[in-house]
Amino acid sequence: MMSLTRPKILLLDDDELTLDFLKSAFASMPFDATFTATGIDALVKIFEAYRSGEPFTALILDCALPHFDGFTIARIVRIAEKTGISPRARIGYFTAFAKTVDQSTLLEEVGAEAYWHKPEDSTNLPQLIALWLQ
Amino acid sequence: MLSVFIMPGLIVELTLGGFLTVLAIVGIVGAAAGSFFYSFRSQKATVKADAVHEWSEVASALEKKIGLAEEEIASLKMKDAQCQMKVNNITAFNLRLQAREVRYQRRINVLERMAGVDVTDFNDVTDAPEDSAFR
Repeated sequence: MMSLTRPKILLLDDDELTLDFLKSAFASMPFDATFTATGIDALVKIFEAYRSGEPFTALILDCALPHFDGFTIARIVRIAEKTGISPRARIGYFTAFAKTVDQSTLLEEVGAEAYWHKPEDSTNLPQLIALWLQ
Repeated sequence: MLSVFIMPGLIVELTLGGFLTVLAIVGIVGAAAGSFFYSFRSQKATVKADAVHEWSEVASALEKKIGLAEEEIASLKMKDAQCQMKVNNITAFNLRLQAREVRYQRRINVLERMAGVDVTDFNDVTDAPEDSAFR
């Protein structure tokens, strides 16, 4: 029997317009998607998911956030995972600052597997994420 | 008289004195050849031993050099990792600042609209004023 479990993913973006677009774009996709606009709220949702025993399969994060940026969140998640609280989540970034990110090894450091360019990949993002999660 | 067989068809007849002289000559020549061969062989062995010793000294010096270079590489790798970590922290900090900048720009635009003044296009860096028209 095939598993009907839909991948549980978290999408974080502090731009309201982008978040609204993502919500409508992901509505028809086979994901159990949670949306959030701040880093703190994302962390709360991630830890609530740990506590409920149903952690997120994947985290799609915005890099540039005013307080908790996407990489700080990923670093916290990786530290939490080391305690055995949950299996390793897959991490991807959706960013308008690819050039800045490319100057560092942040993606490797946090074990991110993919990143998509904002706004170029916006339209196809749900499909790209679906492909990535296959 | 003694008949000495040299080779088939060649038999030389010698007196005993002559035979002993020939025997002595053959003995002296043989001893000289043996001594020459022995000294040549031992000299060759000495040269070989010297070369081996020299090369082993060179090899151990190179080994020490490689050891030092490996230590240096390990220390540089550690320094590189520390620098990379600093670059990553600065990049993350830069991303937070850029996010704040974008937020401030949006807020400024909202306030500009509310105040009825020209809305600053922060993306247009060529004609951007030094600061917003909003005061």
